[in-house]
Amino acid sequence: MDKTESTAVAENNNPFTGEITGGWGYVGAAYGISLSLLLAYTLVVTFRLRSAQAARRTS
Amino acid sequence: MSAAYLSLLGVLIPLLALAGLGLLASKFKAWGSRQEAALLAIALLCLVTGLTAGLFATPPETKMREVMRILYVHVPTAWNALVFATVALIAAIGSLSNKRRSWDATNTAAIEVGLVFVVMLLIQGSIWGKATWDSFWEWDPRLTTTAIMGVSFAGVLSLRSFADGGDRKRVWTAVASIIAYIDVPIVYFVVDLAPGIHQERSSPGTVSDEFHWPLRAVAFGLLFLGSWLVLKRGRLELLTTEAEAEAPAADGPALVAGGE
Repeated sequence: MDKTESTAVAENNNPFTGEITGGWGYVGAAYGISLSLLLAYTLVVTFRLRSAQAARRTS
Repeated sequence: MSAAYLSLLGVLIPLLALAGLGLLASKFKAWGSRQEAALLAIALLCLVTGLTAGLFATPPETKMREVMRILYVHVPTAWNALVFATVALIAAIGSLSNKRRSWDATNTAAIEVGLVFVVMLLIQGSIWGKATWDSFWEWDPRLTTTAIMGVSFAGVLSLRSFADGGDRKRVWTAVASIIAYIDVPIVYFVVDLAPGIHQERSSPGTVSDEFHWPLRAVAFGLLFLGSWLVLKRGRLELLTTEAEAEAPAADGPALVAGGE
């Protein structure tokens, strides 16, 4: 049995039964929000660390 | 080799890797900028390769079609949320048994990075749920326990911000992290113990071969990026706690009784 057909949709109580078309919008939203959140957190941590190191050097 | 041995190896190898990661993170003072830059470069290489392949090179899934491509970011995010929760647990135990500030900084950093991953996970899951279930949220056991995990990580950070004094902060954070970790194995096993609307656990045995390597590349990319963030955030926490410890204590209460 081709696992591509059988397993990406759970064989339990998952109500999904039909075929979805035009899903690129959902994919773009999921990737865009996730990567933006990661980038924002990375920038915040980097800038906070730099300012803490600068404060440490001047004290 | 039997399936039982493979399952045991599947549990032991990640646990050993996690212990190594925890120890590595606790030594971050010894890390130089070159090692950190290399870690970030490998992370970005894995992420770009894996995500590009997942978006454009692999075939769509037969029923969900393109929407299934959320898998390449959703599943590695879930794996890594659990990984960084486990790093936080190891650091919390280290922090309680050894009062070195680097354990406490690692504990805090891993909880915060874990929280970022859980927030990403819930957003991705909501979008995928809207596409397949026509609902952003369902009170499914996997979804609910994951949300509890996020709230408990936020609770650990909130508690830490309320604690005054370096030692109290360290102990409260460690104890709260250990309590919060109770939910982590529940999140992992709940799809077996209480199956709901969420699909079964994704593993090489439950998805087609074509989907494997982009999943692995993104998983390693997020692992390396998360580790890099833990190193940076841990160093920031260390600087903050050292500055607090060196700050002169207040001379007395802010509101002083007296006067006519």
